[in-house]
Order: sequence, then structure tokens, then C-alpha cells
Amino acid sequence: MSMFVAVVNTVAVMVIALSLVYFLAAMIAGIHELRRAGASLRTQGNAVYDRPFSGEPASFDVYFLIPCLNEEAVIGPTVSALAGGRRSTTIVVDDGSDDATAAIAEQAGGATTTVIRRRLPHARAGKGAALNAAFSTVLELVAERAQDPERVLVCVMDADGRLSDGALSHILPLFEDPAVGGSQLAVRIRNRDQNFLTRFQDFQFWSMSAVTQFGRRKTGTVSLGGNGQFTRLTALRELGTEPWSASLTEDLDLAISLIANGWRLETTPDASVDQQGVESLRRLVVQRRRWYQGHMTAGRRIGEVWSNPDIPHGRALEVSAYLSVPWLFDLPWSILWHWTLATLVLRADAQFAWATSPVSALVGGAIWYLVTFAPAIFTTIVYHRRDRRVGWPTAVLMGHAFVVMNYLSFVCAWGALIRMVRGRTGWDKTTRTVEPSASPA
Amino acid sequence: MTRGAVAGGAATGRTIRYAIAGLLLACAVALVAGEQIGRSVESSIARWLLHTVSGMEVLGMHASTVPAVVFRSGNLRWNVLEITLECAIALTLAGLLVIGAALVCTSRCSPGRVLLAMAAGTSLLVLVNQVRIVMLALVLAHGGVGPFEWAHSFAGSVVSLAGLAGTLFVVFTLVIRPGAVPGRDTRTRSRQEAHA
Repeated sequence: MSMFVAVVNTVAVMVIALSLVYFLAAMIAGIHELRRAGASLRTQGNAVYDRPFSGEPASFDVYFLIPCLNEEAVIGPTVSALAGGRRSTTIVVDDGSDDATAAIAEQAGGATTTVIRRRLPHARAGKGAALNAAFSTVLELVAERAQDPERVLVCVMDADGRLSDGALSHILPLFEDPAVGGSQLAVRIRNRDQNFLTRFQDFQFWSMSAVTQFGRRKTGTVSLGGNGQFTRLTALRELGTEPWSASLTEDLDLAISLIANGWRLETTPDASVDQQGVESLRRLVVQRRRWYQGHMTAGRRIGEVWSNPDIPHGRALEVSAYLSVPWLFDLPWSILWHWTLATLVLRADAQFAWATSPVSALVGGAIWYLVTFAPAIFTTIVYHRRDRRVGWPTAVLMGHAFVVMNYLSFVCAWGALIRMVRGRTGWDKTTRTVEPSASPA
Repeated sequence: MTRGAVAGGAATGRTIRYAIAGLLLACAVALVAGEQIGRSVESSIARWLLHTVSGMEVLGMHASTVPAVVFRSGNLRWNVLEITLECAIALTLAGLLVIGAALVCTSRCSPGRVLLAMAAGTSLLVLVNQVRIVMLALVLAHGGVGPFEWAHSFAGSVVSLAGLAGTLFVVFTLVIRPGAVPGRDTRTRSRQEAHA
């Protein structure tokens, strides 16, 4: 029995140590990259998402692709905001909506907006299929307009996505480096003041995810997301006529394919994209379970990455670590977390044997908290610095919310695994809500 | 070189990799199976280290029926630090060797670098655990049971975790050295040259 306990404890410590190494390496690299770029954690902290083309160098032709399924609540302002570019075109893919998405997009977008209407049975086959339909239109338009494919970018936006002011002036120069094949912007949650869940999503995206993404610039392996995803047309063309896969996380699949083809994936601290957060727990579980399933399915590409001689060691290791996260950390941790908690309670007399007096309990307890919750304290400080308008109480609450929100990851990771085992790969699209017309501060 | 010779060389290389992986796995199994011997070795090193560092009187292996460090502190009281399974590094080291076995099976990692990383990782783990044991002995000798409980249950765990995290960082840095692989990533380079 003691051998069994010792083995499980050792596995728990190994999992904690591995995740600590990856988390700290990514966060420290992220902060270093920010400084190297002359930015700081607070850069973009009070960004406004209204005029993405202000100061744009117009050095590339940009095609914005917006796949839509019943997006009438949000599509109007999105296409309207993207209509002001000097060399931009917006392509809205209405993927068989039942509502007025297409009509609203046409009306709000004006002359630079094209709406593609897909009908069942071809519609609603997933985001990748909708994007591939738009991609063929991009190729036709580029040929028709005699544009230089080397100077054409494709940007995938969510129907509720808004680029920060002057975003294009920071993104386009990244692609002057011929090795850069794609770029992903940091994500802000627009309705973060709505409730605890939307605030927590903002914390995850803006604090942890954004900073680790900056860190991944070091290896050129910034992960692509479904909103604010810029790619070079020539890089997409290398992947054939359908660059986006049928995966539930077609964005992650695309990132791996681009890296496998030798492209660098970048980001910038000086631009971001905002979007709606999911407001209900049920919808959040559905969304995150889909992300987990896509991420876990992409894990089978580790072998491909590892055996590809075109991918340098650092990139291969980072991509492999990222793809392994659900398998090596989330799923095992869902069990080990409870084991660790049980051990803490059952061995409390030994674990807290140092608390022999009120003073030792206070001092020891404070030190115990500082060490045990160090990652939570670290992300609390980062979140507060990323946006000074976030008060300390909110930042502290979000930093420590993992104790409860761990369970969201556990439920979604196991739910995704069950769906994989049962062969269910259906697409549960995130539903949007109608927003007030005024932009939140 | 003929295609047959290249294929033969690759097959030999694969065989060597699998042989090294098997050796590392065998070492991992031996560490778990013979963990008592490992603890005895660790306690022997700790006795020597403690005596060297503090000059305290330390008794030999025969003084205890279990792997332990028996020493006399300033108050002339004898203390016994038993090296239990969870205080030893056998299981952690076994885990590290399993990671090494997995790495050496891939053509990306040079077997030499993996072995170097395993040697460095093993040395670091042994060193960190020795530091932890000696630290605990000194706390017990000079502070008594109360501070020892604190150091054992809390500070010791932090040292172990930090040591393991540092070891893993060193291992991965040694195995997957940063930067591009010479002769690889040719596509990126050719793109840059094309634009130059």
C-alpha cells in the first residue's frame, strides 16, 4: 500500500513539476518578449475597438473572412467596422442561417463586402468547411483583381469580433518578414463586466493566454485562434484548396500545418481583438468541451511534428508540449487534484505540524499560502497590470478562481474524451447574445 | 553511399536507440524494485555529507535497521532521520528515466545528448535530495522538533518540487538544445533568401 501511495504521489509531483516548468517558461518568455518589443503588460489594456484601419500602411491586400450561422445579433457592427480599409475586402459566409444574418451583413458592409450563401445540405458542415468556401472566393478575387498573392493576407474573424484601433498598422508590418506565415491577436472579452463567467474568460484570455502567446514568439509557434487570425495567402495555398480542416479546432490544425511547412507564427502586443464571452455555464461547457475535443484530437499530430526534420527542436518541443496539455496535465490532474486534496486532509496533522502556536500558525500559514498559491498570485498581478481598471479584489478573485474553475476543465476534458470514444464529432456552435449599441469602456 | 547502406545504417541506429531505451527502462524498474538499496545508498551519502558540513558525530549504517541518518546534535542527544520511500528519489528518478527512454526512441534526439541529460538530471536530483536531507538534519539538530516539522512537511516539499522542476528544465534544455538544427528548416531560409 505504501508503495502505491508513494507512486501516486510521485506521479502527482511529476505532473505539477512539468506543468510548472511549461507555465513559468511561457510566462517569463512572454514578459521578456513584451519588453523586447518595447511594450509592457499594460499595453492595449485600455484599447478601444472601433477604428482598426487608422494609420494602416495599406501594404497588403487583406481579405476578412467571417463564417456565420445565425449571427444577426452581432454581425452588423462587425462588417461595418471592417468596411473602412483602403485595400480590404470582407467576405461573410452565411452557413445556412435561419435568421437575417445575410441581409444585415449586406446592408452594413456596403460595396467592399461580399456575402456567400451556403444552403443545406452543403451548409452547417463546420467552420472549416465554411472558411474553405470563402477561400475559393478569395482566390478568384485575387486572380480577377490581378493582386500579387505574396502581398495578400487572409484574416478570419468571428461574427462578434472587433479589431483594436490601429490594429492593421501593427499587424501588416509583421508580414514584411517573409518567414512569417501567420499571426494571432490577443483576445479581450467585451462583456467581461456581465458576470463571473465572462470576467473569468477575460482573465484567461487577457492574462494567461495572451502572455504565454507572447512567449511563444520565441519559438515562432504562436497558436492560431478563430478570431483575429491573420495568414499569408501563399502559406494557405501551400495547403491546397481547402487549408482549413474539418477538425473541431480547425484553427489549431492550421497552425500545426503552417509550422510543419516551415512558417513562423507571430503576434503583436500592440493590437488585439475583442469578442463576446459566453454568459451561461451550460454554453461555456459546450464551447470548452468542443475546444478540448479539437485540442485532444490534434494530439495525434505530435508524431508528425516530432518526425518533421523541417521543424527546429525548440518549435517541435513547444508544439508538442502544447498539444500534450489535455493528455498530460488536464486529464491526469483531474484525478491527482483530488488525491492531493485527500492527502492534505488525511495527513493534516503531519502537513501542518508546524502550527504549534498562534504565531507559528499565522507565519507558517502565510508562507504556505505564498508558496502553494504562487501561480495564482502571479496571474493575479499579471491581470491587474494588463488592465489597471481591474481592481485588486477582482484580480485576486480571478487569480484564485482556479480552485473552483478547475472543475470546468475537468468536466470538459472528460466530456471531450467520452465524445471521442463514442465517435461523436458534431459541431455545437456558440450562440451569441444581442448587445447594447454603445461600446463598453 | 547506396540506398541499401543508408537503410542499413538507419536500422542500426534504430536498434541502438531501442537498446538504450530498454536499458533506461530496465534501470527504472531496478530502481523501483530495489528501492531499499537506493535508500541505503542515499542515507550513506547523507551521513558523509552531514559529517563533512557540520562536523557532527554521525553513526554508520549498522546503527539502524532501516535506511537512516543517525547523528548527535549539540545537546548530545541522538537523532534518527529515517529515509522513507517518499523521502528517497528512487521513484522520481525512475520517472525521469522513463521520460529519457521515450525521448531516445525518437530520431530527433541524439542518444548521446539524452544520456548526457539523464546523467545531469540524475546528479541534480541526488544533489537536491542530499541538500534537503542535510538541511532537515541541521534544522533538527539546532532547532528541535517544532522547526523540523515545519521544514520537513513544507520547506522540504518546496525544495523537492523546485529541484524536480529545475531538473526537468535542464534535461529538456540539454536534449532539445534551443535554436535551429543545422541543415534543417531549409524552407524558412530559402524564403528569406528569395526575398533578400
